Amino acid sequence: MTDPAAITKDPLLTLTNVSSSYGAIKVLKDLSLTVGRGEIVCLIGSNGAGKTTALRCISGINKISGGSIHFAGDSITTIPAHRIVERGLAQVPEGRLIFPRLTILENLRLGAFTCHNAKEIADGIDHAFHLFPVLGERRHQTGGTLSGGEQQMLAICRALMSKPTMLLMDEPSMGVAPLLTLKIFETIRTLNNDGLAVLLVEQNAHLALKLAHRGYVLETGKIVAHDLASNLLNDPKVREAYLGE
Amino acid sequence: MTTTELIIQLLITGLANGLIIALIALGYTMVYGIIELINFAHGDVMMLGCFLALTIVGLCGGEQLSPWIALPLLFLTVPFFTAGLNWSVEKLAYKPIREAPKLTALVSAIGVSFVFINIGMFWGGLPMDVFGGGGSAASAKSFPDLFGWSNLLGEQSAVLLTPRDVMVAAVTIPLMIGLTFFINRTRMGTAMRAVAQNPTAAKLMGIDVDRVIGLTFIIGGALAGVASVITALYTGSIHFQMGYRNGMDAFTAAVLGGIGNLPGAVLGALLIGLVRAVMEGYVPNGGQWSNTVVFALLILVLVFRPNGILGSRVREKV
Ligand SMILES: Nc1ncnc2c1ncn2[C@@H]1O[C@H](COP(=O)(O)OP(=O)(O)OP(=O)(O)O)[C@@H](O)[C@H]1O
Ligand SMILES: [Mg+2]
Repeated sequence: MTDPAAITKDPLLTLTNVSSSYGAIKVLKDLSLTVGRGEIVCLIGSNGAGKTTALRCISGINKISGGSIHFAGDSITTIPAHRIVERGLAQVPEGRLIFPRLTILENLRLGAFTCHNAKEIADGIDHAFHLFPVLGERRHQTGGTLSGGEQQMLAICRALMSKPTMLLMDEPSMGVAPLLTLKIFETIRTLNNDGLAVLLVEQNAHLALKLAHRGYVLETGKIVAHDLASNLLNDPKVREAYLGE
Repeated sequence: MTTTELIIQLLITGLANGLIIALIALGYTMVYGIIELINFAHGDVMMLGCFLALTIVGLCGGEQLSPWIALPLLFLTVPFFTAGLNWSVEKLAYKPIREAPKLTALVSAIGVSFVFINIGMFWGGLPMDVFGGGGSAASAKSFPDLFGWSNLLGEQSAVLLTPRDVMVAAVTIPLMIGLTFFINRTRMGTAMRAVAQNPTAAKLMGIDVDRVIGLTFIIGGALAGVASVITALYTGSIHFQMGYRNGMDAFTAAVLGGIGNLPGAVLGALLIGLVRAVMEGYVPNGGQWSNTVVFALLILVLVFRPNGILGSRVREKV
C-alpha cells in the first residue's frame, strides 16, 4: 500500500478515524481517507460496506461518533448539513432524491439555494441544459415523471448548481443504461479537467477505477486497500472481489 | 323568498363559513405536508387568538371601538401572537421528538391542545368586563358587535349580505392568493415544497430544514390568527372549547380535500361550509344533523378517493 500523504499533496477533504453507527450497529470504524484538490477518488466496496453512510457523514446528514472531517482547511465535523453546501461540497445522493413534484427547473434552482446571484443561477441552468440537452427540452416536466437516467442527469446538474469545488457522487450509474453511464463518466472527467474534485462511490468498479486517480476499498466499515487506481485495477485481490474475475 | 334568493343566501353563508374554515385548514394541511403531523393544538391556537382579540377590544373600549380602529389593531396583533404561539409549540413540543415514532408527536399535540384549552378557560376567568367580570370562566363570552347587521343589498332585499360577509371575503381571498404565490413562486416557498417532498435532499441543497419547518408553523399560526379575528367578529361569541369544533371542521376539510394539498384544503372547507349552510338554513332541524352529514360526506369521498379529492393517488415518499 502506498502512503496517502505521499499521493495527495494538497488535501481538500480529509476524514480522520471517522466512526458512525445506526443505533447499536457500528457501520464505519476508524475510516480515514483524503481527496486532493482537483482529484478523482473512488470508493469501492460490496453492498452494505458503508459507502453511502460515509458520504452521508461527510455531507452532515448522518452524525459521526468519533473522528473528524476537514474540508478546505476547516473542520466540518459538527457543521450542520445545510451549511456544508455553501462551503463548496455538494452531493449527488444514492437513489438521486429528485423532488418528484417539482419541475426540472425548480429542482435546478433549489440546487442553487445557497447562491443569491440571479445571473449565476441562470448561467448554471444554461450549463446544465448544455451538458444534458434533454433536461432543457423537458424543463417544465416534474421530477417524478422523468426516467431513471433523466433523473440521474438532473441530480448531477442540480448538485453542480451550487458551483461546488468538490462533488460526492453515490453510484451515478445505478439504474442507468450503459450508453448514458459512459456519457456521465465522460462528464465527470470534463468537470474534473475544469478543477472539480470528485469522491465517487461506484458498483461499476472497472469504470470507476479507470476514471479515478486513486481508489479506496471499503469492507464492513474499514478501509482495507488504498492505492493509485491503476494499481488497484491490477491488484489480484481487487480483481477477484470487485471486478468479478 | 324565491328559490334563487334562497340559493344565493345559502351560497353567501356557506362560502363565508367555508372561507373561515379554510384559513384554519391551511394550517393543518401545511404542517401535515411538511412533517406528517396532525397538529391537534392548531384549533386551540385559533381559540387563544380569539381570547386575545376580545382582551384587546376590552382594553380599548369594547362596544365603542370603531371598526376602522379595531380591524387594523386586531389584524396586526392577533396573527403575530398566534404565529409566535404556534412556532413555540413546534420548538418546545414537536421538534425535540421529531425523530421519534409519529404517534409520539401526535400524543404530544393532543397534550398541547389540553393545555391550551385550560389556558383558555383560565383566561376567560380574568376580571374584565368583556369576560363578564370573570365570574364564570367557562361560559361563552360575547364579542362586541362592531359591524351591525345592515344589509348591503338594501333593506328591502330578501337576501342578506352583511359587512361581515364582505370582510370575510375581503380578508381571506387575498390571503389565499398571496399564500399560493408564496408557495409556488418564491425561493422560500419552493424550499418549503422541497422539504415536504424530501427533507434529506432539501438539506443537501443547503436548505435549513428546521427553519423551514418553523416558518411553516409561523404561517399556519398567522392564518389561524386571522381566522380568530374573523370568527370572533363574524359569530359574535367565543368560548374556550371553540378550538375543538373549529379545528375539527378544518381538519376534516383538510382530509376531505387531500391532506397536504393546499387547494384541496380550501375546496374541502368550502364544501363543508356549504353543507352546513344548507343543513342549517334549509333543512328543517338540519342544524342538529349537519355534523352527521359532513362526516358521511367525508366517509363517502374517502371510500372513492382514499387520498381526498385533490390528494395524490400514490405517496411519492420512498
Ligand atoms: N437507516 C439505517 N438504519 C439502520 N441501518 C442502516 C441504515 N442505513 C444503512 N444501514 C446499514 O449500514 C450498513 C451500511 O450501509 P450503506 O448504505 O452505507 O452501505 P453501502 O456501502 O452504501 O451499500 P450499497 O452498495 O448497497 O449501497 C448496512 O449494513 C446497512 O444495513
Ligand atoms: Mg450505498
